[in-house]
Amino acid sequence: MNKILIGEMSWTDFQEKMKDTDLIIMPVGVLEEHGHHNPLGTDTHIAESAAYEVGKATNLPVAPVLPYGYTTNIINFAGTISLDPILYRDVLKSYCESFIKHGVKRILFINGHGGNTDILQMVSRDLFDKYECLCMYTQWWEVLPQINKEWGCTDHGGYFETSLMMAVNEKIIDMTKAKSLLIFNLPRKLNILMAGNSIMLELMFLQIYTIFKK
Amino acid sequence: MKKVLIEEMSWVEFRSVMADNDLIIFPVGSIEEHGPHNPLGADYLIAKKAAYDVGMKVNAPVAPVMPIGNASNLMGFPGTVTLDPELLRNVLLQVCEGFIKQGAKRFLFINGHGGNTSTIKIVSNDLCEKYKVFSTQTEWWLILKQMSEFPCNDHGGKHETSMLMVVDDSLVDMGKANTVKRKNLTEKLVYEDGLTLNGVSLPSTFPLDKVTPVGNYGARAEEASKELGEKMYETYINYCCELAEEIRKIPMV
Repeated sequence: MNKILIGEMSWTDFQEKMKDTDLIIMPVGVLEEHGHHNPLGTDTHIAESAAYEVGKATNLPVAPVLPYGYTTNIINFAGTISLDPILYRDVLKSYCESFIKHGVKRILFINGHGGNTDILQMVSRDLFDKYECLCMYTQWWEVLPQINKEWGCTDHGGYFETSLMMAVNEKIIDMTKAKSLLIFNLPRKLNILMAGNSIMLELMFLQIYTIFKK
Repeated sequence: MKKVLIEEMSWVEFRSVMADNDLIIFPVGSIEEHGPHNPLGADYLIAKKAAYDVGMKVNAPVAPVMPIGNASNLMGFPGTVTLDPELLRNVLLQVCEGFIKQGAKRFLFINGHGGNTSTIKIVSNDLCEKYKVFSTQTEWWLILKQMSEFPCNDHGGKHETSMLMVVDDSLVDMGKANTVKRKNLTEKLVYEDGLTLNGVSLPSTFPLDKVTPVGNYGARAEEASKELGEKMYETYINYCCELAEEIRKIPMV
C-alpha cells in the first residue's frame, strides 16, 4: 500500500519515502464560522482534502492538518477559535523545523484560510532565512480566478466556498439554511472589502438586521 | 444527523449545543515513531477516535484534535515532530480560552501521548487559576493500568499496537513488528518498564534512538491483537464516559 498521509506511515515508511523526495505538503486551516449552512471546519476540511488529492496525484507525503489558525474579525461567532498570530507563527515554524531535521527542504502549504496568509508568508521567510528551506503556499481563492475568470471566489462561505465544501463533504452542509445578506457598508469610504480584517462582522450583521427590520 | 465534532457543526449548531452544555472534549496527540509496524500518527489517531466515541456517548462537543505534541526524545526517528512544551501550552490554553468565551466551563482532555502529560497539567492549572473552570485529562495507559489487568507499559508494543488495531488495523503492519530490548545506560541504570537503579524506577528522558534501533519498547508488539485492543478500548471509553458525566455534576459558579 502506497501511503500518502504522514500520520499513517510508520517511521520506516517515512524514511523510505524521503529517499525520493525532499518536498512535503502541509495543509493548514482554522476553526471559524462560515454561515449557517457550512461547518466551522470548512477551511480545514478543504485544505486537508486538497492536500491529500495533490499528494496522491504527485506521490508526495502530506503532513497532518493543523486545525487551529489565526482569525480576528469573526471571533464573536460561536465556535470560532483563534491563536495569537505570533504563537501561530511559532507553532508552524516548529512543526516545519521538525520535518527539516528529517531532510525536508521544500514545503508546499495548502492554505484554506485567508487569515493565515500573512503568517504563512512570515514562516516561509523564517524558514528560508534560517534553513534555506523553500516554502510556498497556494490558496484556492487566489489561484482559481487566475485560471478561470468566471470563478470570482470573492465570498466567505458563499457561492464558491460552499460549492468547494460540497466537493469535499456535502453531508456536513445544510443548504436549506443557506442565506445571503448584503454586508453592511461602513460610513463614508470604508467598505468592508477595503477595511480588511479589523471590523467586527457580527456587529455589522446586527446592524443589517436592524436596517432590514425598519 | 447528530454531530459531535465541532469542526462539522455550523456556528449556529455549535451555539445551540452550548445553550445546554458547558463541557468540551479536547483530544491531544502527537506525530512520532511507534516502531516500524505502527503509524506515526498513532497517538493522535487514538485520541481522536476515543474523543469522538466519548462525545457520541455522552453527547458532548469534541474539539478538533491537536495533532502535534512534545516528542523531543524521539526526534532521532524520521517523521517525528516535536513542539516546544511552552508552545503546546499556549495553543491548548488559547483554544480553551476561545471556548470559554463561548460558555465552556469544563474540559476533558483525551491525551494520546505521554510527552504531553505534564504540559496538559500546566494548562489545567492555568485554566483554573485564570478562569476558575474545571479540567482534567485521561490517558488510556494510565487509566487502564489502574483499573484493569492490562499493564500498558509499552510504547508501540503489545498494548498500544492492540489499541491502534481498534482505531484502524489497516495502518498496522504486523509483519514488521519486532521487539528488541533497550540498551542499558550503564551496568546498573537498566531499562525495565522505565529506567531503574537497583529495581527502583526513575523518571528519565533519553534520546530513544541511542538505545533501540526499532523504536517500540516494552511488552512485545508481536503479541498484539485486535481482540485485546477491543477489551482495552471499551474499558477506557466506558471510564471516560462515566468521568464526563461526573464532571458535568460538579457545581460551577
